[in-house]
Amino acid sequence: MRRIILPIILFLPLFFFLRDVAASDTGAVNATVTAQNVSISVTDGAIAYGTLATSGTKSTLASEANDQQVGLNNGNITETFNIVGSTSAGWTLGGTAGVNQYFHKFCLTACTSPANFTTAGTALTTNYQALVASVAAGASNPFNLQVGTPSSTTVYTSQSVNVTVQAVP
Amino acid sequence: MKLKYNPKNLLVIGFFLIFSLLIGREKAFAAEVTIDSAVGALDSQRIKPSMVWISSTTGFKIYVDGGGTCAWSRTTDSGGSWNAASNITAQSDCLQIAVWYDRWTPGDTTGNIIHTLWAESSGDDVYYDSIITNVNSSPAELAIDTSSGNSYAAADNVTITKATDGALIAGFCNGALAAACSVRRCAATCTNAANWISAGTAPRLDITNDYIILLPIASGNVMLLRDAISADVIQYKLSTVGGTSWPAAWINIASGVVDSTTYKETVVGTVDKSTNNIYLAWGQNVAGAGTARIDTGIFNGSAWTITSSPVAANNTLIALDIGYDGLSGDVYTVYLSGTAGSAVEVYYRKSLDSMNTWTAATRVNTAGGSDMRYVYLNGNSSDRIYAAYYRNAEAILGNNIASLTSPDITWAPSANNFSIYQSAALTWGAGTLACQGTLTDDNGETITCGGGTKIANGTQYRVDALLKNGGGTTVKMNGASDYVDHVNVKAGWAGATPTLGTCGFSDVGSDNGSTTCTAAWNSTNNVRITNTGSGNVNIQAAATEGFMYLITSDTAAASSTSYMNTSLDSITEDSSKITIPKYNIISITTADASVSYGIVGLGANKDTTSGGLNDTQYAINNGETTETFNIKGDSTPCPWILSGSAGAGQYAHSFCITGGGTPHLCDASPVWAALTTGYQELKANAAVGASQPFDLRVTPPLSTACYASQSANVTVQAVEYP
Repeated sequence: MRRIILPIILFLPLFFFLRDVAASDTGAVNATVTAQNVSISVTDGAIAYGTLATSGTKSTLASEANDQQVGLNNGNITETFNIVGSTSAGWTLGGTAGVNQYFHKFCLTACTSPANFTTAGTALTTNYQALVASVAAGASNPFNLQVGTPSSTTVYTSQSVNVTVQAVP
Repeated sequence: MKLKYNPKNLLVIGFFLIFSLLIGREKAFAAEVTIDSAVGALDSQRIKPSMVWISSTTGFKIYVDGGGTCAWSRTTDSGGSWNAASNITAQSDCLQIAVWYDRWTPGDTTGNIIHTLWAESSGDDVYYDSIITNVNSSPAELAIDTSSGNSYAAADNVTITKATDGALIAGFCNGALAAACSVRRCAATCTNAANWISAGTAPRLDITNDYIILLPIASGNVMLLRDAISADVIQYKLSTVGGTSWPAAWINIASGVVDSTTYKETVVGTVDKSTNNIYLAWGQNVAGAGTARIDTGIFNGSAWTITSSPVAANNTLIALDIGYDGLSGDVYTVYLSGTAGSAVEVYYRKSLDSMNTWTAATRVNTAGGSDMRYVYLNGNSSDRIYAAYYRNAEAILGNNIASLTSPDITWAPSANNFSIYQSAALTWGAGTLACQGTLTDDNGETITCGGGTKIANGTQYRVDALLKNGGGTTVKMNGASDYVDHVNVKAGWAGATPTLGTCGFSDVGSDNGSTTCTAAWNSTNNVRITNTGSGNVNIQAAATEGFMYLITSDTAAASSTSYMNTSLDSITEDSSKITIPKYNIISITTADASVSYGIVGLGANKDTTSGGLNDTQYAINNGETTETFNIKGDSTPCPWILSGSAGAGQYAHSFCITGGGTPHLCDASPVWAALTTGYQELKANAAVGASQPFDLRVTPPLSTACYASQSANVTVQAVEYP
């Protein structure tokens, strides 16, 4: 790209007697870059199972708590959603119900009734396991949860049995 | 009328050119000096011319001394002091004295004699004598008219001149005897009274004490002028047949010239030796309150032209004289003005344009006004213009007006005397400076025109060049033979087909006449500036004049060497050569000039090499000269701050031009250098048309709140190499 010298001349008088004025020209490289963003949100992000009998179960299916959860890829790349459960203050997370041991399962589309959790549901652990892979940026992925209370317990207070969903590239 | 410098009068100049800047042209009126403190009576001092300068240092004032003798005083130190009077005659009844110097006559360049003519009262005779200037002596006087019945008085008039054929012509008249009014001619051996014969049959003058002047004209003839007091006219008649015959009739030059009964010696004249033109001045209504003035006229050999008045509406003008600068053609008038009888001052005015206009009055006397009665100039000189003035009943005083030295044109009057401005205006010094330099008078030297934007293609410029006259007399530009050239403009710095515009004079001192600047191509490639107006472009002693012209370069301007050349009044001067630099277009393009890194992980790298985006960039020298490429990056708007390495909110952007890969070096083992917000060198010495590949690498911040697409732009700069 050529530039005519005239604009430069406007600034020259101050330098008349100092030195030659070096002309110059510039070219640009227009570079764009976007930082990789891995982000997830879960809606509505809150489940109130209520009071259950020991060895009882309750899910988020429409027939029960009716509170299906949705994981949303809020990042700018395709993500894998992982999920992890947690031991509550009085109950230990396990694969099945036991003495002061509860279980918590997740299920994607296979669980259309509470009974389906027995075979299609996956028990949460305290380690991440894949919830769903290859969730496109902006895509959402619904999932249901089912909680199973201990077969017997000494703790009858309300327990926070939180679940965490993680997004990874 | 063109007044030309006579090259025979050239002084050796040589290196004087260089030093002339240090030499003052005129003394700023040093204190006046006394030529003789006790001279003869009032009427005896009337006749003019009566002062001769034979060189810049030696002058003669001829006068009637206090003892009644005709005498002269001489200075040999430029008027700084004057010797005691030397008698021309021992007679003590010298009434008045007229003089003519050999070299005042056109064509005479070697004569050394001051011819004198006077009348005395005891015998009532008229005498011729001379002063041999080179030996400072006077031979015995010779009575050339001893007619009986004469009765000469101090109020009677005498005049003498030397014709261009070498004959001496004397005119004299007494107020008592008409027969004694005569014009005598001596063709040779004028120390023999018999050779002084009456010229023609009707040379008689009247007896009314009309003031008379004889001046030489061409072909050996002479002009006789008189102030015909009774008729209030200035008249002349011309001799014929080599000064041996005279017509009876007088011809009017000016009428209505009211005379004073007290100050009658108010017709003065001088001769331009190069043209034989006669310059005349006369007083009009001298001593007439409020209406006195000086009028002037020029006789060109056939007719009179009335020129302008150096003094008008002056209420105390009482005396005048005229002088001619033989080097430049400047004309001087001196005159007395003030309170008559007590506080009369001496003034002079100068005309640079053949008496068409006059400079302002400058006072000559330095001791304050007194009872001045007569003033004298040395009529024609190429050495000095000097004024003497008579203080009534006492002394003759003197002071220098101008020390004349040959014009000395120089192209080196001051620093930056040559400039080129980008401008469409003929305004000295205006516009955007393209370059400037300091010319010298050494054509073998080459200087550089620098300091500005240089010369671009297709652009209008004005060239300013300043010329100085380092000599002691005026240089005048008029007509085709006087010119200022800028040599090697076309096919040089302005390109092969530049468009020449108008030109102008920067009239330093506002002393130019009616001028018209004309610029035209000369000798194909030179710009020639001439003055085609009716007046002169005047460059007075030690003064400068600016010459400027407009020109539009074509599309192929080129760095080139040119110089200034001038010939003014037959004096030539070439300047040093000056290299005028072409403005080389600096231009760079980038290709493809776009890099889309896409989404890059925080702290991760992505580059344009073949292993990355495979989008190597190119910087291309599209200019007219070798360039250096510089490169810089920038922070993004959000921002990501450009840094040497990625960090929280900081990103890195790097460039590479070297490595071990192919097809581009950076395709393997790239050497990355972090961009900064300041320029750093990308590539030096990039030839015209060269394409320099380079790769870029981006590293987003380690953490950021800015996940939108960021413009991480890179700028590549080209500057002239080196």
